[in-house]
Amino acid sequence: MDSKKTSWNYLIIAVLAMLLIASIISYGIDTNREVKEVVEDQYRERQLLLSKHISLGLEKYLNEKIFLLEIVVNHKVKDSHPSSFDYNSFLSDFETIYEYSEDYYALQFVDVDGTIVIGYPEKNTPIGYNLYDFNQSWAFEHVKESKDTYITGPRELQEGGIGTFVWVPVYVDDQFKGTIVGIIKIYDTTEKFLNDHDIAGDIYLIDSNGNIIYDSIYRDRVGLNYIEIVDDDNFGLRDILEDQLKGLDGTGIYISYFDSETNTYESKIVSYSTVNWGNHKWSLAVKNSYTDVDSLVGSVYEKQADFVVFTGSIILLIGLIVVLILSRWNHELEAEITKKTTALQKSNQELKDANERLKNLDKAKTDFISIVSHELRTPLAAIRTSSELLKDNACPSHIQNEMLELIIRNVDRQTRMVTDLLDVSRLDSDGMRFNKGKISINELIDLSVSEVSLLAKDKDISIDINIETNKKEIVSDKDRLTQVFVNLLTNAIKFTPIKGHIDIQVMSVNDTCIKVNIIDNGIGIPKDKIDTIFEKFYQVDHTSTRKVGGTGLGLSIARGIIEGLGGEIWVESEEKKGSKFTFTIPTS
Amino acid sequence: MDKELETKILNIMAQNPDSTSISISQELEIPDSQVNQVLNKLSDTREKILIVDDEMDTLLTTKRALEIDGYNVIEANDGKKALEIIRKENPDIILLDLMLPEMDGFDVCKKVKTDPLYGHIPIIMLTAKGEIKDKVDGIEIGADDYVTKPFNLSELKARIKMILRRANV
Repeated sequence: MDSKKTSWNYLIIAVLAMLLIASIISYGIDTNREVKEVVEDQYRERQLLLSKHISLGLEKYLNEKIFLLEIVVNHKVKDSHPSSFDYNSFLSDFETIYEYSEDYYALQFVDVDGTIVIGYPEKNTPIGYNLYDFNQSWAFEHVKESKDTYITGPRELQEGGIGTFVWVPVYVDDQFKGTIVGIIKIYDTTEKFLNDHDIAGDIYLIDSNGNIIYDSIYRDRVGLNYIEIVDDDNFGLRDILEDQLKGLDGTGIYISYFDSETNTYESKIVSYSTVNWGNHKWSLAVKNSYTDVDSLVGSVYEKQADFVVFTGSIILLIGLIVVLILSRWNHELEAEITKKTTALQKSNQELKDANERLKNLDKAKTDFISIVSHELRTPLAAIRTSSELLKDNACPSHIQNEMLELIIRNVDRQTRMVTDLLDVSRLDSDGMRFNKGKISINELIDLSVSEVSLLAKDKDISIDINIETNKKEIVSDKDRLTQVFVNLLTNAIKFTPIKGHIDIQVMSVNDTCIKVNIIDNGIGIPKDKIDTIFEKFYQVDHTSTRKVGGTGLGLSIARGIIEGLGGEIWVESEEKKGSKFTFTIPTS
Repeated sequence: MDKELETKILNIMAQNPDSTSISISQELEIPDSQVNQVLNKLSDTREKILIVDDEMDTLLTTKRALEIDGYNVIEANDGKKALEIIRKENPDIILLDLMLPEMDGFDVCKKVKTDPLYGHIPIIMLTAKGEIKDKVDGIEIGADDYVTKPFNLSELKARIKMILRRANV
């Protein structure tokens, strides 16, 4: 039907599907951005928490080292008297701590003179080393004054490695007896601590001056100042370090690697937090590749892309299904409409045809009435005029005779007309009665032919009779059958030219039925009129009726009679060649 | 053909006032009877009425009535023949039936009235149809009068006389 409309529908559905997909993609992109922010924030927070956690852990761990020394000192001092104090008794404690803790490089006792007197292990202890002699007495003096623990370093040890010095003053009843110095291998300690905690990321630890105490990757950097070794390419790192030196906690990102040729770079995310250990304020940092975040977000992207592709496919699939359903529906609808339209057109046509038939019937009726009135008036007019003429005395006698004959002729004609009309009326109202009796076929035909013999003689038409049936008699209505024969023969004579020929054939169809043909070589009947010549009101055409005379009711009456007697009547004809009227009648 | 013959005979008589029907027939090499027929026709001074009707009996009674009254009555059975006869005989008046084979009364009337040569011939329409519409149609196309069948013979005669008088004035 309307394929334009259908393709519009498809277009609208396609556009809707595309809009839906586009909105999903845009929403996905938007969401991705947010997801990236959230993931980044989460990552930063998590990393910061991690660094704080490590810092606190390390802080606690290192503080424990101090507490251990302080506990040993307090324990010793509590039971001692200034006179009876013997520093040698520390040696066994030193040994225990050293063996147990593993974090100490050495544990030593410095007497009031600033001379290292005992230590464990002995190989790491410069016995007899005087701090004053080597101008190393600052921390010693400081703890003596403050009576509080103090930490120095980190510093490279003579024997290698990095050590942090924990100075714990020993007072017995407010009498200074010296200090314990615990040298902690800070690098190893830190590493040990970190190893005990499975930590993701690289770690470095710097003191408040920026000196590197620990670096999980670049061990050789230990002891160097981080700020001094920062490369200008490491964009962002200096800011981070400055924050760290200020003792702040936080997270930052810096470029760890930049290739100016390929313009590729790698960035790292650094979370840092302070480690407060005694008088020291260090900063510990956890580094991770920022690409981890990217890859994390990337994996989210992938999932989302999967989702978008999946949803898009679903939408397209649904769209396709909708289109299919619609087109199928359309087709069904179209088929239905076509069906309905056809039915409507058909019934319209039938109505038109019926209307046309009614019109024709109406016209035929009007024509019939007009002809009948003409036919009824014409003889009356002739009779009237001739009667008037007869009344006139001036009328000569030969004209008088002529007029009287004319009157009789017209009265007969009028009678025939009235009889025919009555027959038509009876056939119309099924009021025709048949008086059946035995009829001789020969007699019937002879009687009929003799009735039309004058007419035939006038036109010099010969009538041949062929009876080809063994049946001699039938049971039927003699008068009515004669009327049928006469009507058909009259009709044949009317339309057959002068010196024409008419054949009557009678034959058996079966035991109960005979067939009669009346064949003429007259003008024939046009093909388009052949179906209607038996119609009640039908006249081949009015002028032909006028030309040949008669009411035009003969054939209609003949059909009515034949059908009333249980037979059939039909005609075969060819124009200008002649007609063959055939009827059948039951024999009983 | 007839008119040609009439013209020839009239010419001979004009040139030779003494010529007889025999001498004319000899001169034109035609039978004497044919010459007499033409002469009779030429000498007929009666008013000529053409009746056009396909009903022979109606036509016959009217013809006889008018003949008794001393008219020269000629007849035609259909429209086409009527037109032929009008051209040949040039009647003084036409009684024209409406329902005719070949060509109906209206068409014949229209043809006659629009012909410059015969348009003057008065026409009385005769028909069994008494409907007013037919009358109006007939008058509109130039019929001079209208008589409905079955007509009163004296009325018809009176109408003919009246119309002929009007035409001759």
